Amino acid sequence: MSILTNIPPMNKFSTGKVALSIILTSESVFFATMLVAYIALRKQDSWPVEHTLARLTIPIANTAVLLFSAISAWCGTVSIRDRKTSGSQGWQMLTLLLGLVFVTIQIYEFSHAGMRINDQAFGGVFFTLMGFHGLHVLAGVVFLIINLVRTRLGDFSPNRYEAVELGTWFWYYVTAVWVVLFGALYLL
Amino acid sequence: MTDILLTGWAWYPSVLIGISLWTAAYLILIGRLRRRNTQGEAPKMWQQIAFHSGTLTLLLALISPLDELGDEYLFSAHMLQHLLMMFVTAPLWLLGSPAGLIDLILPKQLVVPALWMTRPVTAFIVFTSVMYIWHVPAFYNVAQANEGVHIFEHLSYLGAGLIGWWPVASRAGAGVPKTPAPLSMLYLFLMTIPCTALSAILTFSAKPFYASYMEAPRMLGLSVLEDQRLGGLLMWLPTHMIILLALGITFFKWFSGNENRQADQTVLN
Amino acid sequence: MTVLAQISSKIREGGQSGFLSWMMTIDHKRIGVLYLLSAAAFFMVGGFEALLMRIQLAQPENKFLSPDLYNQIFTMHGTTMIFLAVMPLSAGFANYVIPLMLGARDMVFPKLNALSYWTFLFGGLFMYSSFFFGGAPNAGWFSYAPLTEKLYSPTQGMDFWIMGILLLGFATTIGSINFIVTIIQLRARGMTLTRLPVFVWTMFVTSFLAVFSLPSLTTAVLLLFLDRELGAHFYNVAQGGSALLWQHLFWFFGHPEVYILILPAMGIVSEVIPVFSGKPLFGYKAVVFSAIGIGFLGFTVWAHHMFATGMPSTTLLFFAADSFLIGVPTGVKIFSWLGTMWKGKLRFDTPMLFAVGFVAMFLIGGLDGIHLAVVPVDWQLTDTYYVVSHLHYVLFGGAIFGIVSGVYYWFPKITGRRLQEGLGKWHFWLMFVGMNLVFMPMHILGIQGMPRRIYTYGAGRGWEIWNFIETVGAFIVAAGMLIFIINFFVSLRKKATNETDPWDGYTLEWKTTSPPPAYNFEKIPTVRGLRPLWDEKHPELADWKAGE
Repeated sequence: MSILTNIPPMNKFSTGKVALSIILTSESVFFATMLVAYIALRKQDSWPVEHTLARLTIPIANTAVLLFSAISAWCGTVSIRDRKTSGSQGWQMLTLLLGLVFVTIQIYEFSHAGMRINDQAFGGVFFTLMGFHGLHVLAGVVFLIINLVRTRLGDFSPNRYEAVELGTWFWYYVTAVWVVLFGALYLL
Repeated sequence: MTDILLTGWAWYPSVLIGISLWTAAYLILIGRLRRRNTQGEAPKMWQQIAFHSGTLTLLLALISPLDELGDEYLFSAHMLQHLLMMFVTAPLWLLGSPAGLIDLILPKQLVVPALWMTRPVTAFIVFTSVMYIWHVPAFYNVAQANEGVHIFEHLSYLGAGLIGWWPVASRAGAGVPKTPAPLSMLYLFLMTIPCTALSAILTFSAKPFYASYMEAPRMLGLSVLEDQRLGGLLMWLPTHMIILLALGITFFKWFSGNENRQADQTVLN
Repeated sequence: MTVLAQISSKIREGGQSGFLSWMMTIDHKRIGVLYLLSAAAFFMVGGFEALLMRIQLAQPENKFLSPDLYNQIFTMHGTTMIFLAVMPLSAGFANYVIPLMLGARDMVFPKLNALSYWTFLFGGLFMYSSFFFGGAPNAGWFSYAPLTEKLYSPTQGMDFWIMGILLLGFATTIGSINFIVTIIQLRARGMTLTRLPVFVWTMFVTSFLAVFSLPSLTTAVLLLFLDRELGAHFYNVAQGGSALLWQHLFWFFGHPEVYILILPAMGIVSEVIPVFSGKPLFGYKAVVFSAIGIGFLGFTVWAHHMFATGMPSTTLLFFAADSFLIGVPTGVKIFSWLGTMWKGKLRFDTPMLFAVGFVAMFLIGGLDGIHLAVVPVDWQLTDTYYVVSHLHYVLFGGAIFGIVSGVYYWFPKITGRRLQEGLGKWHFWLMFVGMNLVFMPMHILGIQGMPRRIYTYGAGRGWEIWNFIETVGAFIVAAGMLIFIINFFVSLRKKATNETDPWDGYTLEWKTTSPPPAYNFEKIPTVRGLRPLWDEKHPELADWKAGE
């Protein structure tokens, strides 16, 4: 972007943050339309009355995993700002590990849900919503890995750590979407 | 129906006392600010009128027949009541509050968390979550059945309304810059998306959601489903019109404002 | 050097000319040109599909096209014109012009810009390859379920459509993000958002519409794909699904989409009319706010495409009322354009002809839309040729005329030469007359009850004469397009005159050379008003002196 840097931007928001905010808002509309589809289908006459997600322990555990990972992500960002780079690496590693734990538990949950995507409408809804959330988690994991490697290589400083912030924002987003999906699919 | 309109006025002591205290607190605050009169912090006349209009709207929503209609008979009436709280009273109260309100009424330690709560992203999440949670049938039915929970529901709607409208309607965080106009406009647009989603669900549903209305006697010739549909439509169009109005006000204030002169200053320097 | 080494060093060189440099470009101007040329090619294909349909319909019980082929052709015609012609034409101009109008050197994410273009091209070609793999999609451009479920559409055409839409949606989304962030971040000093050229404002609003409405389309087609290929039951009523769900999800996207299609053209016209009237745009604030208002209200009216699905009266009433409301901001714009022309020094060069043609045609199409918003009228006219007339007046008479106006307007900037005026006027009049011959009689056919998407019709209903006239009209339009193609090549052959500012324009793209250098401006300009170039050319009459 060397040819573009001769003009200071007209506001205080960084380009990356503006772009990510818009992307995340767009993704929210995506999840929202799917959730609306889910609620709409639930109210159809032919919605199956019972569904097989009776055990809540696993999703509750997953919720806890993600919430803790969000906190560790925050700690990771703050550490760089406070010049504690090695501490940041630790926090970022923890976030990454928790993320992978989440993915593992989700895979287990998918295979033991007792239904398939083509069983009836709820099967389709569950796997589609959770599946796309999972894809976003994987994308977040990749982002975290890249950030962790760059932290190790010394790419970031207290004045320059936007990528870590963006990765953390994305991770907050993934956590928030999970909370909503958890409520909608397991608790409603 | 007409007998309800005539006899349905309920002078709830809790409401009357609460509103009187609220208004008194506001008037005392105005008085104090006028005595200090530093930098004209006291709200202007139109702002005071706005505040009192918000209070009056709330009073009417709670003691008029609308309350009984909503509680006992019609989902759409209940919806109207809640909409008045969240989309009329709350923004009017904010428009009527003085600048730097948070610093005036909160102890120092709570100022920062309070301001954090009113940032656009958090405010949006609070506003949407409160609105959605109370529409989950399980919670809605509890509020219908239990008076205490119902009062809590109303208070939470007011609170969520205040928080939700904060980024665009208030000047109340001293030291925190006002949300820039373009961001306010985007925020206002985004506020409508959860409303649209929820209204669409309510309007287009083929089945009723809320138990208490299914057993209620029919009113105005509306079936349960027609009533629910009307409620959904009320959540839809009127709220969009209010937000469009807010959008227009924000836009025209922005375009008639100082921004160009400030930009020219930086250019000329 | 080995062959491989030679190739890689050539790739690394890049170079200013040559095929490879165009393949690897990240310059917004070149990407803009690529968009425009590709979209123009798709437009010709879509037009050819239209001619095929018109030949088939010219006479009753015609056997020119089989029913299934006809279905494929009208599906691809609609999909092509919307996703592969109008949208990328707008994106092409936006790409080329916006950084110049902002006084920037490029878009904020140049490589993403390139990705956007190539994904679009691939998506379009992918969709068209369906013709070779068992048939193109044939369920109409809005692909209603359950017709599109595997049971009723067993061939692969629908899957090609779905994949194509996903690719195009991705391209549009990242392109829109690029526009939004560029407009927010890369304006020249002094160019506040309140001084943005109207074309930039309309692309700004369009981009927001795209990022917020496309996810709904993504969901809709994704669920359809899962239904078709993995046996899910989203739209399958027997197993808990809902056919109406498709319509809601689709039209929640579909209505903002039509504003995505028209707003850029409105922006172009809002640039052209002031320049060719010698006056500033009348009512700038109102025009900008009406664009925002159209975008805002556009998300609330989608069910007016579903009036005939059995919605209850109160719901119909609300959507109808809202749909009337959305005519207001459009009306504001029309008054603004007319007010701009009032008492102006009008020059009717070809860009202006097309711009004025836009206003007239869009007015007719818009009024058609208002008619359709009246529910009982809609119940008679929905899915008839009345709707076909409406949509073509707004999309052809509107979007395409506006875009063609932009072509004549910006051709000198892009190529350093003007398109020939004489041929341009022929182009305009042939297209104008032809277009009205095709689409005006469709009002009558619609009222007489001729349904859409039928491959033929019986004799003796009185439809034959109008269909025949429409086919004649279609060929007149084609003649006009042919003249344009001739004009294009003839003008390119001529020696470049490299006029910087052939039209005495107002906005910053006319400040730099024609064509602009890779870095756009030697020195980034500073801006003090709505018409920055006018202010520079006429300092005594500058807008900011008058107090804008």
